[in-house]
Amino acid sequence: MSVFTIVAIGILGAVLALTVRQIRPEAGLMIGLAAGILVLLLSLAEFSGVLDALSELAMRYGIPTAYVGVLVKIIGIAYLVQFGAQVCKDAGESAIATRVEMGGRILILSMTLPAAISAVKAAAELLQEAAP
Amino acid sequence: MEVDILFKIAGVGIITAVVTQLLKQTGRDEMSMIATIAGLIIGLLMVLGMIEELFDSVRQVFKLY
Repeated sequence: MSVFTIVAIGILGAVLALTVRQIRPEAGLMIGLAAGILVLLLSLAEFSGVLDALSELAMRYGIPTAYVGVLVKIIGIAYLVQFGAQVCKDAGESAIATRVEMGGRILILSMTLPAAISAVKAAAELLQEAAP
Repeated sequence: MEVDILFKIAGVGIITAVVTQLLKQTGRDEMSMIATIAGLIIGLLMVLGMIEELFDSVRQVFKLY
C-alpha cells in the first residue's frame, strides 16, 4: 500500500526539515520541496488509472472526448499551480504565491473559454429553434 | 531515488552549516559566504532533477503540452 509510504515520507520530511531549518533555512526549504515532490509523484501514479477509467466512462456514454480532455488538462494545471504556490508560501513569499495562483487561474480560464462559447452557441441555437 | 534524497539534502545542509561555522571562526567571512552559496546550489541541483521528473509525469498523465 502506498498510503504508508506517503504518510512516512511526509512525517520524515517534516522532521528533517524542522531539524535542518534551525541551522540552514534554505536547506529546510529544499527538504520540504523534495518531500512534496515525492508525495506528488506517488499519488500521480495512482491517479493515472482514475483518469483512464473516467475517459472510458465518458466514451461509453457519448460525451465528447475533447471536453473530457480539457477537464483533465485543467486538473493538471491546478495540480502544478497548487504545488508551486505552496512552495512559495512555505518560503515565506506569499505575494509570489498569489501571483502564481493568479496565473494558473488565467490559464484555466483561457482553456475553458472555447467550451463556454460553444455552450452559449448551443443555447442560442436552441432558442432560435424553439421561438424563431 | 526514493527517500534517501531527503537525507542527502539534510546532510548537505548540516555539512554546509559546519563548514560555514568553521570558516567564520577562523576569520574567513567571505569564504564562509561562498560555502553557503555552494551548499545552496548543491541542494538546488538535487531538487531540480526531481522537479523535472514531476513536470514530465504531470505532462504525461494529464496530456498537457
